[in-house]
Amino acid sequence: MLSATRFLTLSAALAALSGCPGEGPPPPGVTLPEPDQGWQFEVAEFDVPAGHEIQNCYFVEVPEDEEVCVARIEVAQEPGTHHMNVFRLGTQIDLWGEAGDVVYGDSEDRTTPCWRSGNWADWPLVVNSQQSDEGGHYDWTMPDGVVHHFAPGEVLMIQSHYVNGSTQVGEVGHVFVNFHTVPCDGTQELGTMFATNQGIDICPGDLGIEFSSSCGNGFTDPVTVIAANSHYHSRGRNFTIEPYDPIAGEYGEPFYENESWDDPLMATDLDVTITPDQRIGWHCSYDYAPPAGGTTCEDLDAINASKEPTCCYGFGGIVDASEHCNIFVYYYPKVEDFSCI
Amino acid sequence: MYLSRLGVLAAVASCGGTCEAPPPSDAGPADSGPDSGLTDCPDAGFLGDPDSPPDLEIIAVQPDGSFVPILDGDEVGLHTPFQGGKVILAGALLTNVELVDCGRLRVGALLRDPTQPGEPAVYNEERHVRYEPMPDRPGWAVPRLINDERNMAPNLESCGLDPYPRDTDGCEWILEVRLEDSRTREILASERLRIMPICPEDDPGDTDVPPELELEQCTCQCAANYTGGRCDKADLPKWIDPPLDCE
Repeated sequence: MLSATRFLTLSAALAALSGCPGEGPPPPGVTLPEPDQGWQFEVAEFDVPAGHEIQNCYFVEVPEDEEVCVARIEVAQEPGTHHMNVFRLGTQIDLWGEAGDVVYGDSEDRTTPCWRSGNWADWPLVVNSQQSDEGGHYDWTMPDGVVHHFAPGEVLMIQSHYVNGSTQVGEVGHVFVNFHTVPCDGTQELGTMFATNQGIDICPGDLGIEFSSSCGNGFTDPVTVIAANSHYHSRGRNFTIEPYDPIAGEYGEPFYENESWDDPLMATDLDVTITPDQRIGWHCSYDYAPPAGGTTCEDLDAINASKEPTCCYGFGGIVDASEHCNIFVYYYPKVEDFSCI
Repeated sequence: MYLSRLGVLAAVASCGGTCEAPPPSDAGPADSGPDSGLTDCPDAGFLGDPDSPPDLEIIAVQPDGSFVPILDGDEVGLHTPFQGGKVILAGALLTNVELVDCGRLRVGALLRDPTQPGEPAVYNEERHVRYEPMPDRPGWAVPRLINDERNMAPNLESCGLDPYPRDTDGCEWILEVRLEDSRTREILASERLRIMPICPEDDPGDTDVPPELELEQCTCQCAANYTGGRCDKADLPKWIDPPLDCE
């Protein structure tokens, strides 16, 4: 049964944010002014107990009564965020909600639907941010004429993950996302790609171990990649994204490279052409490190469904006990929103 | 001739020595501990003929960690790995190679469409696989079983959410397996075979559906133009496999 709980609607959330008369000023923390044209989503503050990871899925509604076009997205997050992803809804498996619902996920119970990536495997990516410094402020204006389209009342899912563990410390979660709208006339729609390599396994002794793959059957016309981001955990050493030539079976020159695992580069100044005979490839490499901060080899083996004690890090969302190998790519004009999971 | 899983485990148990780590990165992980980077692993040196180029034989790793050779025209099983999806664990036995860095060598697998010009790869994966000497075949190296079968070969995802307008299950494809240089990714050896991926009657990794629906789920996921939600458990009993689309 879906473990969704009704939570604050957008308006109620904003009312809660503003506080009640006579209660004094809100506590200090991250803030973000609302956009002049557009709307703001806010994920209200939540505590992240020591030794826990919190990953909540918030369902929100586009508060517009006609199709809108968004050319700029701003995100502000309380420092210590691990990631924040916004998705459109796709196939309903075990994760679902209506506007105002939230599905909570504490790492103490990894069976909750907000932890299981298969539940949003084909949900189109809207935007992601992992910026945890400078107030987690991130401001992305797309190239002239390139926009996200949103239907009136469209329901989106904001997934916020905070870690208060050995590798990241975020004691309070708090997220704002601003969508700045522009007229839709003469614009081209943005498309996205969210892809993962879930067959990774990083075992004792592995230094520089690398996994490579590609995604993107279906580019029927040339497209331009304008932004990219990557995601892995603290064993991550190097991450690159590049065009892939399926006939030669070779990767081209990287248009994205990142070595920071906890504050990865969001490249927003790209201008890379992907032709119909190409796909998008990526490489993730890792250096093994023993589990720390109360995480044990038994934890790793349990998460990784290991057949024998090995203390390897498999694919998973728990930062201290598993690894990721995920790419986020933004391009135009939209062919489809690719999901390779 | 080929090792069983027990044989591989026995070979692992006999390993000794300590391996060299590759050059350190300038940006190492924040939590690298003093124990990271060293482990017991084979110090095998060069296997085969140092005057001959590297060579390989393609194998299919099975869900139990054993493996079988793949020959031209063979049917090859699609399996559900730990991470989900449907993969061919397409790997290689290697000769004329040097086992350093814990025997870690980069192996790639590509599933190519023989009906399209240039036979493009529709699915691919490359990864480091740890090798050790093959006890019953001097001069050859075999993938080492660590943790589970996923580490013995590229996990060639062959169905699923990167849709393609051609069936995987039951159609002829070209499987290419490569040995690549671990650092430059230069192709050192490669081989291509015609194969027919097949959904198995019994898929031990597929715990998502009852055994009687495993075959239906696989054929549904591996038919052309997959879309999310097409193979929901509740809908599978009603799934009607469309005519084979191999064009």
